[in-house]
Amino acid sequence: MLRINTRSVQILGQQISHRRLSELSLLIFMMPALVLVIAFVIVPAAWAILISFTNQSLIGPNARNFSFIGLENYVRLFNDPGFWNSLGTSFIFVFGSAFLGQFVIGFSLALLLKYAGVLSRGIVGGSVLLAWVIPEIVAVYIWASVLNFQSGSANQILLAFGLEKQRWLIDMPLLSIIIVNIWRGTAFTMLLFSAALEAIPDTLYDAASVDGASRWERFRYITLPLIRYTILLDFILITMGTFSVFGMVFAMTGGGPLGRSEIIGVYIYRNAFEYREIGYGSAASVVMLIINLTLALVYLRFTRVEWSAEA
Amino acid sequence: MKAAKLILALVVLVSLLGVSGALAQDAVKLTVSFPGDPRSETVNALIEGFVAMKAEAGVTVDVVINEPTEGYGDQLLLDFGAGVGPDVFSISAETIPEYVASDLIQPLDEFVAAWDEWDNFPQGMKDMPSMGGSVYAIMYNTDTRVLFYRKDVLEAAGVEVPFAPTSWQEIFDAAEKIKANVPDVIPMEVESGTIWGEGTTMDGFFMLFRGAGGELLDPADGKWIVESPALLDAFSFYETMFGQGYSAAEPFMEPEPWVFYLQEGLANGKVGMAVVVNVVWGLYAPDGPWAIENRDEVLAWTPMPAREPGAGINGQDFVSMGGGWGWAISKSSQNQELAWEFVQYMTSAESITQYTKGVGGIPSRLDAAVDDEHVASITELVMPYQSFRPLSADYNRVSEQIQIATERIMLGEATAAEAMALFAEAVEGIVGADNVKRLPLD
Repeated sequence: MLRINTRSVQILGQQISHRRLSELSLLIFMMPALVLVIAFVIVPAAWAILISFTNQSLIGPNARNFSFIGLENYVRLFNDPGFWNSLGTSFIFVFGSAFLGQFVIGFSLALLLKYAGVLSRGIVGGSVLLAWVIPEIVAVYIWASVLNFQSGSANQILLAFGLEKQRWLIDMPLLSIIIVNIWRGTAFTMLLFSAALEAIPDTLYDAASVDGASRWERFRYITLPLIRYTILLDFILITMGTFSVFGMVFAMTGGGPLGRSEIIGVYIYRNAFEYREIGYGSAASVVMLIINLTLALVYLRFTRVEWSAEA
Repeated sequence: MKAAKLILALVVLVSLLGVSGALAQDAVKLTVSFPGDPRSETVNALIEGFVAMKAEAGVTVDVVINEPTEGYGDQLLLDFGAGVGPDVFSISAETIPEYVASDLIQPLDEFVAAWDEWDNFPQGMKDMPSMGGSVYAIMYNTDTRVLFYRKDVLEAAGVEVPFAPTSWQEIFDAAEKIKANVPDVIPMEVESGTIWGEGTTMDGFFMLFRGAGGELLDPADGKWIVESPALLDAFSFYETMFGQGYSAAEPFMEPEPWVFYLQEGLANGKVGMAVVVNVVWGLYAPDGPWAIENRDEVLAWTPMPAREPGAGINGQDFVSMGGGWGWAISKSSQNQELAWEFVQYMTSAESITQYTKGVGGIPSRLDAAVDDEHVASITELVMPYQSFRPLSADYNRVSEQIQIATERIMLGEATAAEAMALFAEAVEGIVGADNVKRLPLD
């Protein structure tokens, strides 16, 4: 049944070349993952795109007898100030917590850890990691008690320094959720850069030192160029991750007060589930999907440049 | 020989399969959905009773239970949407219009017409699950709202106890005394803002609005009344309460405000008065989840007064809002008769007695024997003042606009009049200009 020679394999009387066989086995090995991705990513996404063109609702006459209404949902979406508000809020949230926060702090921590001693590396790295592994909802409760107006520790610290108590979740809801997201997400960036920095051979730095390069020059001309793809990867991953945040913000502020911390995820939830307009909510999530896909394409584009440059 | 053995084995196998198949055929499947904790234990025990009763009658019922604790309403809708809705489900009365609009719920008129126990339900319990002249659920539990107060706080503030206010001004006077004399206590709490969700509308807003004689959905023409003197009065209550510092806005904007105000605040005497659903009385029991060791010494309640005597809805001196849960049958159920038998069992006097003992609230039947002083006095003093939320498929979204209005006032971003104007505009946007009307503000 199975005959093997050096160039091809004979299976059930069919002559199959090694090259084809490896392609075939690749496909077979990818099958389980492919099936899962299709079932849980591709199909739901396609379904969401489809019903974004309908007036389907979760309840009421349009729940079962919905009809295609063309671009109506999208027209309504782009005319809704609430949607633009949520988009704007999301961009501030992403810029503040992903770029200024997680990226800058995570990168700095990774540099710090590289040159720090074993003890401080353990303490700093460990505590940053801890924030990352804590479940989202637990993090919300921790921060709710920190930012609590009456007796939260943030206000207790302010009082200790003779400053006034702040109404964190009322007067600066966006800043509050940005801080929480930085706290939670920094570990990811730190880990990514720690790994990238470890991968740079010490010999490069030694050689540069011998040539008289300063510490800044070594960073500028050795470290940065070697981790530039990690920077890009990290930047895009945390941007997409932050853009998709929902649970933390929903539990923390509910998008309020009066929509001031309503990021796009919360906007979608309100429309699709609270207002039961699943078709309209899907239209908003398709816009979100397009933004995320664009980011992903940018990333793929750059990594392809890297591969072809290496080849 | 070998062949004969094989055939014998096959025959045995097939007959075994046949027997088990027949067994499975005999059991009738009934799917049931209800919100789980804290109801789970009691309802499951009742369902076991139903299964046992049917078994005695020679019918094997296989009850498939779905009891999510979180997001019950959303899950039920998604189940129906996916075509896997239950035969029987527990429903909160105010959501009935949505199910009627979706054609998901079976009218029970024919069933109750032939049911000799229907008249053991008071009129209010027959009205609450009815719409357009049809009954859609049989209520098994109800609740009501009253003004709870801390006797120790009021005494320390110099307010006479027992406290029996007959107008809003008397509540504000007491709050003023607490503010002046017991400074580390928040004088009062009325549910406000969007985070508390429906509680803000039901437990807070409507208790004030009805006290000002307000009607939100005109029963005569089905229009939403988006501006009225009563609406302005109710919103002005919030303006006074927050403007005078009788309540604190911050906890309402933090996650789980009920933990701050009720579970911890009222329980520890850090809040003086609160308009709350009567169910908390059981939660505060010395052996309850929010235990107050000496509950009966420090906590008491009084009916919520109208703005002034006679100013309440129907000219009442006191007001209350009623909500409740009933059992309903899915329109698509293939087992209507069995489902109705189940509903009858779950809403019998004994079952409702058992449910009230296990879970709390107020029984929905006159002949349910609940040996409880609190339930007895609530039934006598408050139930006559009970009114209900408007039944409309748009209620959900209008209710959210009420929560937003109270949030604006609470945060000092709008006066009562401004909040009402914004509310009117928003509701008009939701239901359409043809479906709203404005009453003159005198």
